[in-house]
Amino acid sequence: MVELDDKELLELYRLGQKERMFNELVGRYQKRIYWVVRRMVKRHEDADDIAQDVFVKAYTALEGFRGDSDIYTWLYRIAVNLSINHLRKQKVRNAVDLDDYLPFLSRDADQDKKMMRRENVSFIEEAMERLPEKQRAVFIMRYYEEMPYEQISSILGTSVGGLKANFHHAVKKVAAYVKENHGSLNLEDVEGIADNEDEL
Amino acid sequence: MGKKLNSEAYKMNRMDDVIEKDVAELRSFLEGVPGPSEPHPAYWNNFLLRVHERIEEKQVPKKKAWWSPALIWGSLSGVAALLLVTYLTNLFPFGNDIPEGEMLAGNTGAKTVLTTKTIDQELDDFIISGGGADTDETAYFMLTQGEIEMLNAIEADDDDAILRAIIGEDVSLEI
Repeated sequence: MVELDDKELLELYRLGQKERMFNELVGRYQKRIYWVVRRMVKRHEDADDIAQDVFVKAYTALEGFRGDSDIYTWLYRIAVNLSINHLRKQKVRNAVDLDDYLPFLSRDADQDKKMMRRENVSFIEEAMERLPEKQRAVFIMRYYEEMPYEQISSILGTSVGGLKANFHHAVKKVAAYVKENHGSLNLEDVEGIADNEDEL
Repeated sequence: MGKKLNSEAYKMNRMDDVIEKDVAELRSFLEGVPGPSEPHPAYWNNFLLRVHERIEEKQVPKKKAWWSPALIWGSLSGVAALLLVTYLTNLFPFGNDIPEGEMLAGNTGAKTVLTTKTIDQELDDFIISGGGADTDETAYFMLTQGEIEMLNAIEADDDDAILRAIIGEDVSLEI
């Protein structure tokens, strides 16, 4: 079966073949969308839930899609926004949970928790977890997806210069974390990373 | 070390080489580090199906709106309100339509209307109107012949007639 490009997909939609167009769309982008979400939120269950929601939102919003941007960019924007929303909600939930249990956690238990996390979670994920949500999104799109800055810029609605600065900060923070916890890495300016973030 | 990164430099692409160098080093260091595990192939095969299920779930309220609980409760409330209004209208009818006899004949709703008159006035009206015999609602009024005679005797202030009415009532009771 011949794979249709994004323009042909939009043409299908205009011809009234919404279901066929949508099925093609999901088949083509499901893995990429899943992975960008998965890297943002870490857990498969959350990524699965959000990735499905991305396509449900796309389905309901297809009528309003004018084709000004690429379909992929459009889907990515939905995915990143949903992931960031999820992370923010999670942060609030975690803060509440920690407040509930903080008095009962002994120092040993805290150390055990750290050990367990280290065994189960890849340290690159740990490092990414420390990045602010939008910086994490920039890092994932550039580092893993190797997306052009211009495309990331249209997804996040920010300047290319700001994106580059954010990406560089993210790379250095991840490197610093890896160096501190898992060996040496010769990166310039790793020690000079400021705690305050360049928010987008 | 500790160099402040100038955002202007990023805008002018002067930092591009530095970024690429740092990224390359990070990549080489992280090479071989296992990332998150890939989902089972069946996961991808069923993904579209589950997306469609979720879309249908979101559309269900629109398709079956006619039996949605909110609508049923709304309809029931409307019917209940209508029944209540009908009941109250019967219970408290607008005064001019109700025959005087019916009002006196023990209709509980009419009692509020009767409060504007004294009991004696109501009794006078009743006797003058023929004791309600000309209304269709005789079932409401259960006065016996003896009671009527008694009322007439009282009205006429005739002691003998009152006595006869009393005796007659007793006799009829005994029978």
